Amino acid sequence: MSLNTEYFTEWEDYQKENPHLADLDAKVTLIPDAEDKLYRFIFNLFL
Amino acid sequence: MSDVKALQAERNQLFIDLYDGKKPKRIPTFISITWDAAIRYCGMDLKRSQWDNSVTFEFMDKVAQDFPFDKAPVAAQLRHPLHYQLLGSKGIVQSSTGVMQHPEIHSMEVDEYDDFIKDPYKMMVEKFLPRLYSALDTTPEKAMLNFSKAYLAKTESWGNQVRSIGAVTEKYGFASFPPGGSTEAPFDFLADFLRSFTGVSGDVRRMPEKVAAACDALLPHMLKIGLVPTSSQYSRTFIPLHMGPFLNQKQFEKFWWPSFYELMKGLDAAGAGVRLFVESDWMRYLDFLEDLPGRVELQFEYGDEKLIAQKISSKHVVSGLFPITLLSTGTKEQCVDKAKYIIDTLGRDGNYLFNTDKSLFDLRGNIATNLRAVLDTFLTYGVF
Repeated sequence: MSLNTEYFTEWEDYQKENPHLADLDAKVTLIPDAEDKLYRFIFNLFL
Repeated sequence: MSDVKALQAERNQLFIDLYDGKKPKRIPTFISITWDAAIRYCGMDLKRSQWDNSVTFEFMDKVAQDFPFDKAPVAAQLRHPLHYQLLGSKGIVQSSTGVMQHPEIHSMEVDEYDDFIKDPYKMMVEKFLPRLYSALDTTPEKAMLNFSKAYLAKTESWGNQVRSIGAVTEKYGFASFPPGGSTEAPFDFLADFLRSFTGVSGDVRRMPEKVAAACDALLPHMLKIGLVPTSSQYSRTFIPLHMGPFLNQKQFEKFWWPSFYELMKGLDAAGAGVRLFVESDWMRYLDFLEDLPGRVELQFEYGDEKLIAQKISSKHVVSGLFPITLLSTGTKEQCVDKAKYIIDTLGRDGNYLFNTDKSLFDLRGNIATNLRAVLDTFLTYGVF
């Protein structure tokens, strides 16, 4: 299910914007993890 | 294997069997004792103890020692004051005595539905956060710094809680599973901090199509935050149910249920078990709950045990229902009799998990003695 928001970048889209990271999977970098943690923190402020 | 490890393995198996639909050796027991109750029980200052990380393990340990339920009894506290203070929270505030309060507040205006439906998260970040948190309603530079401080503080305070619960769990051999996710029904999320209870109650009459569209727009977000890497049948997604009973049947069926049902389907498809905290009176909606996909744990705040036994099949797990008011006002005998009544009415087929009707906010007076008597009843009378 797509989030369809300009404020969350899926890892695949982030790699397209940053081709030098295209050969790294999500687990190697902490970037998708940071994106996810921030997203959850913000939602937590509304729970 | 040590005695403590053997006890933990035995307790783990109770929950594994329960959630797998196999009859466990006895009725598993679980309770949520709030920090308010635990801190006061230990004779500590409520306000100071929530701020002082060095005492967290101390009050969790004392309560765990005295109330050996099958999982660590003192829950993690969502409403830890630190990050709310740093953010200048208006919706969650600490009273002078230390109680965390939630005054009704709204952050979304009635004319913002169209923008919200296009991109709910963008509206939350740009518009609603600064309205809920005064430290974010400032210059971009200060907002950035305040937000960063709050994030760091929340990470530290949450880490302290998790470590303390972990230490207590290992010390006493409580059942241990990785954490599950937590989310809300889309309509409840729209109500809680966005439009408020009062606001959304008017919106369903004045702009029903927009309310429905807003719930649909929220659905993928509610699903995403409900799933974590460790989600499973044993590490369940927690969902408190709020607004359903306060709508009439027509409104419930049109606005509240559809997006919630889709959320439940999504969680079930992802393999995540769900624990619903069924708040207030859902007796007229039992048929809806029965129809939910998967094996759902239904913790009832209120209910007719016989009606629940009749309407909710062995497909689901029933929990809750033991009234905390009885622990406070009843005799030990009345509490034991109520425990036996619940066991006999709901517990004999292996699909019941003991829990109180709601979280315990107090352990003073007779409550502690009565609670212990109830636990002892489940540990003996609740054996199969």
